[in-house]
Amino acid sequence: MGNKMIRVGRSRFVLVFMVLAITALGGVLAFTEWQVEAAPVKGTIRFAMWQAEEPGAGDFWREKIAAFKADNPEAQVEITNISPAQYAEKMLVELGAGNHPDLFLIEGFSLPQYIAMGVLRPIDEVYSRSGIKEKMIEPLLRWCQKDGVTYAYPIGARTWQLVYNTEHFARVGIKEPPKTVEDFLAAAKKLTIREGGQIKQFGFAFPNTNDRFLYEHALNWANGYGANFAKDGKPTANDPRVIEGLKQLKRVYDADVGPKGVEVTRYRQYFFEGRVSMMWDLSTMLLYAERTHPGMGKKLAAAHLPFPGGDKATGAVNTNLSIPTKAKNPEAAMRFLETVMTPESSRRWFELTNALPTIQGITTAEFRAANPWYRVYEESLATMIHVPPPGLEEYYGEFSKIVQDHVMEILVKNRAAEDAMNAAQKALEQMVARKRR
Amino acid sequence: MTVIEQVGCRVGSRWRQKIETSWMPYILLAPTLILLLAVVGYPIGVAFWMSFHHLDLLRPNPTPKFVGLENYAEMLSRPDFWSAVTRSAIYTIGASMAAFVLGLAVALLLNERFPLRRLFRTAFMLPWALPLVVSALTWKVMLDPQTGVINDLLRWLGIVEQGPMWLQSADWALPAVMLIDVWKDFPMAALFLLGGLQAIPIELYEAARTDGANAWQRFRHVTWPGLFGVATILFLLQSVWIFRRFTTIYVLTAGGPAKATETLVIQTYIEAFRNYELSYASALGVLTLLVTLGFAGLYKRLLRGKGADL
Repeated sequence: MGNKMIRVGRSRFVLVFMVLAITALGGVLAFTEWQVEAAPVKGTIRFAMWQAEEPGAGDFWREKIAAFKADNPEAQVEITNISPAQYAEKMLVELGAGNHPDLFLIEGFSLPQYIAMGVLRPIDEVYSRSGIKEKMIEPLLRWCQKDGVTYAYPIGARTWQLVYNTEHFARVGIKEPPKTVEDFLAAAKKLTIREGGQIKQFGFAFPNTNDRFLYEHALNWANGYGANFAKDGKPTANDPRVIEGLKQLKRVYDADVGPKGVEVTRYRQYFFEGRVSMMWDLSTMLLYAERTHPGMGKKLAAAHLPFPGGDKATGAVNTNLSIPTKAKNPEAAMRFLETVMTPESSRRWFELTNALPTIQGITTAEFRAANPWYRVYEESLATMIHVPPPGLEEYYGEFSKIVQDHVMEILVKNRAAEDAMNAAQKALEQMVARKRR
Repeated sequence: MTVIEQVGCRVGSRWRQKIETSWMPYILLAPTLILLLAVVGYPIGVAFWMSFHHLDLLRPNPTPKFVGLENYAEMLSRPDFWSAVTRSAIYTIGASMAAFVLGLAVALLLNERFPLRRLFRTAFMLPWALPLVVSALTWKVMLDPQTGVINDLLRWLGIVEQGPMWLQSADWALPAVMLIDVWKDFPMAALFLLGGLQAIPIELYEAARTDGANAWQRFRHVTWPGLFGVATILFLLQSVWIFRRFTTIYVLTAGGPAKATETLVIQTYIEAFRNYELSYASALGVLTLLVTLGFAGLYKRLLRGKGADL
C-alpha cells in the first residue's frame, strides 16, 4: 500500500512538474519572441508615395520617419516620391514588373484593383499588435478588407461637400447655403459677375474636363437623385434617376456659371483667390485656402450638397498604407506601419492635413467650436458613397472612363442625356462581360 | 622568304582583306545594333507576342494565355477603334500638310535676300527648339476660353464676341491640337526645304527668267521638281512623327473632350494604363507600328515610280 501511494504521489509530482515546465517554456518562448520583435530593425525600407512635397502630409511622413530612425538607428527609410498625376500608372508598372517597394501609399480608388491583383500583403497581424482596429470607423476599415482579410491601413478620408465664400454670399444677399438644386442654380447665377463680356467671378466651379474628378462630380449628381452608376456588380448608368441628375448637371453647365475647360487644380486656385464663390470639394481645401492666402480661410464655410440627403456625398479613404507581397523588407515595413497605426499619429495627421480621420475620437470639441464647417464633413464620414462602382470596384479605371466620356458628350456635344447614358450602359455591359470572361 | 611563307602571306592577307571589306562594317555596327535590339527590338517583340495573348492584370499571379487573333478581332469590332483610326488619319494628314505648306512658304521667304534674314532664320526655329511639353502647356494657357490671349485677341480684332471653347469643344479640340503641332513642326519643314532650295542650281532660274517664266512658272517647273525628293522624305517623316505623337494631345486634352482627340496612340495608352488591358493595348501598338511601316513602304513605292533618287 505504501509503495502504491509513493508511486501515485510520484506520478502526480511528475505530472505537475511537466505542466509547470511546459508553462515556463511557453513563457520563455513568448518572451524570446517579444524580445526578437521589439529589437530594432535593420535595413532599408523603400517607401513609395505621392505626398512627399505636399504641405502637411509631407511633414507628417518626415516626422514619422525621423521618429522611426531614432528608435531604429540601423534602419533607413528611403522615400520614392512620384507625382500624383503619374502615381497610379507608375505603381502599376512597378508592381507588374515585380519591383515592389516595401511600403506604399494607395489612393482609395485604386485600392480594390490592387487587392484584386493580389499584390498586397495581409496585415491583420499588424492590426492585432497595434490594437487599433476597435478604435477605427468601421465602414472605412471595411474598404480595406476583402473576405475578412485586411490589406491596407487607411490614414485619412475625405468627402465632397459644398464649400463657399461667405463674403460673396453676403455681397449678393444670399443668407444661407442653398438646399435644393433650384436654389443652388439661382445662387450660382446670382454670384456670377460679368464685366465687359468676361466673367470676373464665377458662381460655381466644377470639373468639366476629361479627368477623373468629372466622374465623381457626375456621381454626386446621380447620387443626389438617389442612384449610382452601378449597383451590386451591374451597371445602372441609364437609371432614370441618374439621367435626371445628369440633366441637372447639364443645366448648370449651360448656365455659364463656372470656368469651362479648367482643371480642378486651377479652379481651386481661382477659389482661393476669391474668383469663384462655390465649389464641391474636400475639407482640406479650407486649410489650403488659409495657408496659401492668409485670411481667406476665415471667409469660407461648408454645407451639405443641395440634395435631399445631401450629407451622403461621395468620398473615399484617400490615403492608405500597404505592404506589397514582394516587399524585400516586410518585417521592417510592418514595424514602421505599426508606428503609424496609433491614435497619436491619426491626431497628428489630422492637425497637419485636416483630412478626415479614420479613427474615432480624434477631433476635439475645441476644434469643432473653432471650425463649425467641420461638422458637415464629420457627419458625412460614415455614410459616404464610395466612388468606385459598387460590385465593380476593380474595374473602376475603365468604368469611370466610359461614364466620363458619355457625360462629356452630354456637356460639350449637347447629346441628350437619355441617349448618352443608354450608350454608356451598353458600353459598360460589354466592358463588364469582357472583363469577366 | 620561302614559297610556303609567300603563299601563307598571300592567303593571310586575303582573309584580312575579306574581313576588312565584308565583315568589318558589321563588327563596327554590332554595339549599336545590340543596343537597338535591346532597347527597341525587344520591347517590340514582347508587344508583338503579348498581342496574341490575354493577360488579366486584375487577377492574382496573372499568366498570359494564348488567344490567337482574338485581340485583333476585338479591335476591328469596336466602334471606338474605327473612330480613333479616322481621327488619327485626319490629324496626321491635316497637320503634316499644313506644316509642310507653312514650312515651304517660310523656306521660300528665307531663300530670298532681305535685311535681318539671319535673325528671322533664328526666330523661325524657336518653336522647334522648345520642349514639346513646354509648348503644349503654354498653348494650353493661351487657348483658355476665359483668360487666354488667343480669345482676347480675337475679341479685340472684332472677329468674335465670345471666342470658341478650343480644347473644351468637341468641334475645336482636334483643330486646336493640330494647330499646335503645325506650329511646332513647320520650322523643321522649313529647314529641310531651305536646304533643298539652296541645292537647286541658280542657273536654272536664270534660264527660266530668260525664257520669260513668271514666278509661278519658275516654282512649278524649276523649284518643285528640284524639291520633290526632299519634300517626299520630309512628308514621310512628318507623317510618321505626327501619327505617333502622344505628348501634345495628352498634355492638352488627354484624348478628350468626349474622345474628340483620342487618336490610336492615345487610345493605346488609355487601354494599357487606365483600363489595364495590356494585351489589347499591345495589339493596338502593333497596328500602329504596321501603319508606320506602311507609310514608309508606300512612299518608297511612289518614289520608285517617279524614278526619284533617294
